[in-house]
Amino acid sequence: MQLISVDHLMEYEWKAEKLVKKLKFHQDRCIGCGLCVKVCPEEAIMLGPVKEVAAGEIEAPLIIIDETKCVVCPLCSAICPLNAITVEFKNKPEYLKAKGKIEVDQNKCLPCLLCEKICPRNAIKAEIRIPKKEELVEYETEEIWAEGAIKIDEEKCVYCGLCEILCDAIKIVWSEPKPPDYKPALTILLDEEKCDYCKLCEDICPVQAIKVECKASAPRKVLEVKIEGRLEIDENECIYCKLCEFKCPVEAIKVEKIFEGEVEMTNLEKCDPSGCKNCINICPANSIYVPKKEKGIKISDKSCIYCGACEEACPEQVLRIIRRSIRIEASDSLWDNPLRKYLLKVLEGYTPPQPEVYARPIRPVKKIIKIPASLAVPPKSPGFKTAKEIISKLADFLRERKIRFLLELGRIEKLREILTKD
Amino acid sequence: MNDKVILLLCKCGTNIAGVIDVEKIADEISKQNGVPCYIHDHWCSEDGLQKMREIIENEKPSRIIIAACTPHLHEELFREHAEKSGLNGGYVEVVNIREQCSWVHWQHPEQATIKAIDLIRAAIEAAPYLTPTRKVKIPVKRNALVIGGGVAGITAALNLAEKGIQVYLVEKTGFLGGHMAKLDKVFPTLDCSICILGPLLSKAYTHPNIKVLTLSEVKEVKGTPGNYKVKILKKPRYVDEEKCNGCNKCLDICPIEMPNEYNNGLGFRKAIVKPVPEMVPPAPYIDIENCIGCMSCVGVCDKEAINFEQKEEEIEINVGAIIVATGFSIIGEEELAEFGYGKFKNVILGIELERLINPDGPTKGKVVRISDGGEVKRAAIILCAGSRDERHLPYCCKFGCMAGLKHAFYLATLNPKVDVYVFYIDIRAAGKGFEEFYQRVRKLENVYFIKGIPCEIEENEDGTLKIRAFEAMIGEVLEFVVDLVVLEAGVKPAEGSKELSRILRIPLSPEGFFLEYHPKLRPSETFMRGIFLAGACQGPKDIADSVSHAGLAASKATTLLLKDNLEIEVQAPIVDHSKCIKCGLCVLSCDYNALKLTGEGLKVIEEACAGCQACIAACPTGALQTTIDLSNEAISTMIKTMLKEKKEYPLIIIFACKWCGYEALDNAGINRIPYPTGTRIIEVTCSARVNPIHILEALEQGADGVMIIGCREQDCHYRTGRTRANRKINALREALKIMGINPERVEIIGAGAPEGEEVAERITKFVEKIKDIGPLGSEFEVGNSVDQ
Repeated sequence: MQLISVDHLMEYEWKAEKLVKKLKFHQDRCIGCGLCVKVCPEEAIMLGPVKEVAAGEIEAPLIIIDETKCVVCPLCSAICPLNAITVEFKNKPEYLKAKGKIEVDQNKCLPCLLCEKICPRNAIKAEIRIPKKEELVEYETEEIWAEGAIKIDEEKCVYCGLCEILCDAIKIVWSEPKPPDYKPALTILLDEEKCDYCKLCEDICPVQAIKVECKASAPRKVLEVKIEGRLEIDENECIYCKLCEFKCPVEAIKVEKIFEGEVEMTNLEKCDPSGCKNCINICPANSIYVPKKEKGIKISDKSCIYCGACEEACPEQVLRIIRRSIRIEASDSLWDNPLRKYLLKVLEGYTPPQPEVYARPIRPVKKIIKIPASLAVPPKSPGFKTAKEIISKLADFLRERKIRFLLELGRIEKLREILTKD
Repeated sequence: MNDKVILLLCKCGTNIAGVIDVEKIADEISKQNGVPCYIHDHWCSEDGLQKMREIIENEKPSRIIIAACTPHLHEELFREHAEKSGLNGGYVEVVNIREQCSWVHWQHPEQATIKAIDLIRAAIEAAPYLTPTRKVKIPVKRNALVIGGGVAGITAALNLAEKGIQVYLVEKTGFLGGHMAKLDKVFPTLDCSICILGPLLSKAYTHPNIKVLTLSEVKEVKGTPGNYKVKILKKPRYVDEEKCNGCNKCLDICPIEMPNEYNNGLGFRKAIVKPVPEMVPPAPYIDIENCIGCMSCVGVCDKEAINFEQKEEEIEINVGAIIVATGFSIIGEEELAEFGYGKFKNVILGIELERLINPDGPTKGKVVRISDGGEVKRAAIILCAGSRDERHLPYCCKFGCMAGLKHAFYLATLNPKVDVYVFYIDIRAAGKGFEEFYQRVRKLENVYFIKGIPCEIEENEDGTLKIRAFEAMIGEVLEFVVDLVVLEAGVKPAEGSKELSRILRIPLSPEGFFLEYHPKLRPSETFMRGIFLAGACQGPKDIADSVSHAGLAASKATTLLLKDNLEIEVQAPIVDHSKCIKCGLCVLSCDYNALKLTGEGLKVIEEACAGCQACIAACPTGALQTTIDLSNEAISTMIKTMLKEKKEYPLIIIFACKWCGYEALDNAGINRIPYPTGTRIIEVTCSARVNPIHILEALEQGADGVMIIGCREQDCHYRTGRTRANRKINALREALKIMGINPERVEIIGAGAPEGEEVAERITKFVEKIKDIGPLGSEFEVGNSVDQ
């Protein structure tokens, strides 16, 4: 196998007379979780400097593929939860893949902006079409006035963003969602001056966090507000962390993770999150945080995907990921069963099935036999002429019947006698 | 056609006449039954047969009863000659007064004579109910099936092919050659094994009359001799045999390594499998359980021979004869645990040493210590490992001694020399050139012979082995330390023999090898006319004997295949629609779906019928009539006659199935193992054929007990016949118990054909038990109860 191009995409090529296989490694997607290292049948993958990269000290690829060992088989691309490795070649069959599942119930989904804001991989795009409230409130006369009261209960508000899209009177202060509560916004602000108590925001709010009371208003007609749109999920980016399911206010998304398991923490006293932020930096699902009143770090089981990147990034070996189950999407091809045996190696305590035969691993000693090269120019001997004459003479002797007879019958003594005479 | 019955009595020299008073029998029968009796010394001789034919032609009887040796020996002969004189063979009934009378009851000649008279009378009275045999002519298919691609199978296949017969050679593994291909050299000539076998394999693979199907197994066999319909399941090779040129590039490139089963687990092979570079067929096969689909083999194959689209195929063929050549398998960790095999790395089998020595083997011909690859300086060879041992295999493996001597020779002549210790019980060197080879090995200075099998083997820390053995010649316990222990392990039947015996409906002998028709005179034939045995599948053999045996099987098969037509007896019953009440009991009792109840009445599907006669036993009205066995009326009449004049106590009726039970009784006779004289035997096709009504009739008419001797349940010739019989008999016993009759009066046992001693013992015990129970009716005497 040969490396044919290096960039954020490292491309390798395996060439044989009848087939060319390509292995593409997307450096920027790799998090150094090391799952590919565990499943490789040729032990051709080695982890790169995960700790140093996680600490921000250097930039380097997080795995190193040994070109002399890799045979471009389906396994590393099958296990990678970040889809950082792909294998391509002509007539490539469908192989199985360790994959999660994400399903949107389009009937329940509003859609709103929450999952788009929450997703740590930007895998969800919410396309939302809501008319502005001005289009929905039709004043019958030139008069525009209203009296009433409006209250937004911030305890209930989930920051879905729908009321903001609807009405300019509401402003949400968006922020980066952080574990353990993953709030996508700091607060929601209301400019009551702009509000005309039309109640449209109360209708649109999926969690009934807004209470509007209209005491009196100018004659007007308020139309029903309808939310249109849909969610687009890029399954190549999705890591099935389940945050969207966790946060969805109407339970419209169902996610199955690739791995289920737990995180074991030992020697927590060695963990110093004020100095070292490796695990937090490396985590692809934004699961790790520093808890307020406890020492060390905590991992949210809501979003952890049990990839093991943090385990590799931690310089004090505080973390150990224990995977109990793996979700594999079968391809019903001939190779599902053998490939599965390798993928299961990432699970805790998995022993591969032993072959039925009494195995004794002995190998032959490799003998390297060197043949010396022959001379290109043949050497010439000075005695060549004499030798030629003698041989010619002997041939003439052997044409004589008597001498030939002696030769054929093996009468060596007599032969010697006659030949030494001449 | 008159109702005349004639009796032919055989004296069989002194075999019968020495115990039974033949003249008395002739006298009584001719007086009381009015049946003419003729006596001869040997009815089976030329003279006897001629006389028999004269009698038939002159007197034109409607039935002939021959009281002589077991019908299994000469019944066919007598029937054949009767047919020649114009009497249907079905009307000839042979009464066994030798194996089951004179040979077992010599201690009580008077009772033996009475028994003989009873049996003969029963046959005479039942004679009017004998049914004629129905014969059909089957055109013979000039094709043969050979199961097994080892040296025996290949020999048989080539033999047949050279005669112009089309052969299908089915081999379970991916390659031909069997065990012989694994060896390095063969004794005693020390020829290179694959050098002499290879050309035969290639010849068989490319022969125009032989079609080789590897990775294939026989799944179903139906039909008759001359016309078998066989279903074969062929597993996909994933490599196109026609395209592959045997370059082996795919083997080098494949990334997956697995332990090599061809070498019993020594060394490795790839997921694309070809254990030895020069195998036949030259195309490897892909172990799809371990192939990870990387397609590297596809990448390097110039001929594009790799084809993952291949699927399992079911192939149906039509052949006239089948030759079984499935060979043997070698015992393993379970039986050899006491020698440390499976535990201590440096204990290996003889066949594994062959693989190490073989230049194509896992170490390319170097004999090394398995534990660390180090040099072997001292080796031990243990003969009879697992053989001649009551705890494992009681029989001799036949070639172990010679193989052990060959291995001693290999090791002793290596460079640098190895000290070899041979542990033996006996040295069996009985073949041509074998004794000379033994002497040659004996004379080697670094080979030591110790008469005694080691009692203790322990592993030292460095992997060497400590052996303790009692040397019988000097009477001392000796200790040895060796680097390698080679076990000449015992052989057992090939894997899957039990399943194959069921598919082909041929029985196995007690050790599990296929049962031959006769071990001395007909070792290649079975009880099925179109199925033959070749090689070690019939019993342990070396290569020379396997080849001879295979040649014999091919010859016998050819005799069958070169006929245009074969006359065979139809086994299926006939329906008397006037008696059929359409109750459906027969359909229930049939395990072969050979009976169908349609709107038009009962239909018999002859091709499906196995001939077990269970339907005849189930029919309540007698509408189903047998063509190969005694009819219901015949059996009832026999029972009545046998019990009419009860002259001894206890008196039991024995139903014996013709495959095992009857054979076992004959075997007791041949071995002169006695049992009580109060036994009247009726032969039936299968234990399933025994009609419960007959058992009740027997008890009713005065029998003190009834015994049914069938095959062992798993060996039933009709697969489930014995099981169905068990069901019926157990239910009958329960019924008897409920009614107040002691159920112990009825017993069903199973015994294999060679188990004469076992069956005689069981009969003696049963008769004792009946004696204790008392005659029928004792159950209702005061103070007794059924639950005793």
